[in-house]
Amino acid sequence: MNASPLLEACGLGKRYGEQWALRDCTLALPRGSVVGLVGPNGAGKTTLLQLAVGVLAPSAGAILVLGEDPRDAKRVLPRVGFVGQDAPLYPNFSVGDTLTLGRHVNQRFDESWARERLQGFRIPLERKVGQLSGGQRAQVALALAKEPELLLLDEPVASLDPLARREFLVALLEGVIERGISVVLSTHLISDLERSCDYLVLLMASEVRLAGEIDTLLAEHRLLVGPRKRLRVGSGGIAAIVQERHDERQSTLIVRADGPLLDPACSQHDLDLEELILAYMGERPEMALQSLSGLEANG
Amino acid sequence: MSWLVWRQHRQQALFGAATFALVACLLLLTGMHMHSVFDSSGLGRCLSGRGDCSNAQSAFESRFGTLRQLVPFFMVLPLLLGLFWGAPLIARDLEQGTHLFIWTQGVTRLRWLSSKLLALVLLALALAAAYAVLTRSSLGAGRAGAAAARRRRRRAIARAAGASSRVRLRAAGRRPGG
Repeated sequence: MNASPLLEACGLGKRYGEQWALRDCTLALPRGSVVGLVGPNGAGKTTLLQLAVGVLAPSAGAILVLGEDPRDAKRVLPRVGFVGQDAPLYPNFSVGDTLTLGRHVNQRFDESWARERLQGFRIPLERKVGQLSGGQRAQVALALAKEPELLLLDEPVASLDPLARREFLVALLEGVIERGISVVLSTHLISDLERSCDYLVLLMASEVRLAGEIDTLLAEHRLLVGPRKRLRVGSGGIAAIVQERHDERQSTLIVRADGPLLDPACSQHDLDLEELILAYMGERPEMALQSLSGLEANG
Repeated sequence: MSWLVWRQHRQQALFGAATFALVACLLLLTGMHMHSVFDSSGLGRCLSGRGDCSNAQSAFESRFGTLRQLVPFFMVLPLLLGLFWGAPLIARDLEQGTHLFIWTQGVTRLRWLSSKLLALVLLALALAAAYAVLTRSSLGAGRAGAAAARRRRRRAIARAAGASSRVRLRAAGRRPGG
């Protein structure tokens, strides 16, 4: 059973009326990884996470989480922790009551561990959840997420300021690595990813645009700058052209390579994760170009 | 799960219980007052006799006429409780997004829904039954008054129906009352 992937989707789709919120999603996320689910607002990140936790039923295809159908709540829910967008909790419950609730509705929940953890963050247990700051709320929700094999977090840091966001992610990852938990977290902030994730899933317009180990993806993709000419896919180690731009004298390309790049006229540059993601977000060329021109100035 | 239902709805439950206690006090006090006036004004005696009671009756009715305006309130009271208890039972979770929280804990949705519904239905049934008993015993004419009115009506019918049937009806009327 441990051989089954963390999350496996095959032709997965979810439709609301005529509108597909997610379609043709085929993924196999490896165990033990911290997966970043990125994409602009409305790309289908929340839909995918809610399908994974069984709150939504797929309209097409199938999804398996830890080798089980997530609609089978009794088998999957005890092994999966989920924190929804804005960490929904009962606002009129005190923090202590919320933890007591966690003990009542979960078979395995270490209440004393959660209490200690929240006291470590100086969150007063007698305060109402509705009066906590966004970051404190997120910590309470996270403390409630049991001792899972898989933690699904939907925009866990969206309501936090940059400093709190960094602290939250660091604290999250320390806990995760210590306890060997796999994580899937969605975000629309690319800078969060570089600090925390080792696997990337890019969703665009309800479809998976790119998925893979971040290190592998970065090694495969190159930025080429050379004299103005057309480069063809399939020649010189170029497996795919992600983005190309030609001006009067030179051509700038982001390519996916399947071997050593042979063209001696071009200079090669490494890409960072943000540039890579922006290149794939073809619908926002102006942003991608800005980051490219920045690169050229540096290089 | 029952802990959650209690913790989440205890305010509503306590408010409902307080409303019920208030209504109960109102009904019991006015009921007792009406019964005592019914007896002390001589209306009760008059009604169980043969004389013309219309004066005493209208005096009694005008004295407690304002209470009649309260009757529609008592009719919508169960509806109000249904609105304030039934409607937010699930709607509030959906509004606050907390259904995503509670549905992804270790308890299944079916169990969540059934515990909530069961608790609410049982409480509503208990309160409704208590309320029905209360209104019947205090706002109704009361056992003595009702019996008197029943006897009087039967006598009127009997007078019209003639002597032979009068004996029979009177005997029948006495039997259940003892």
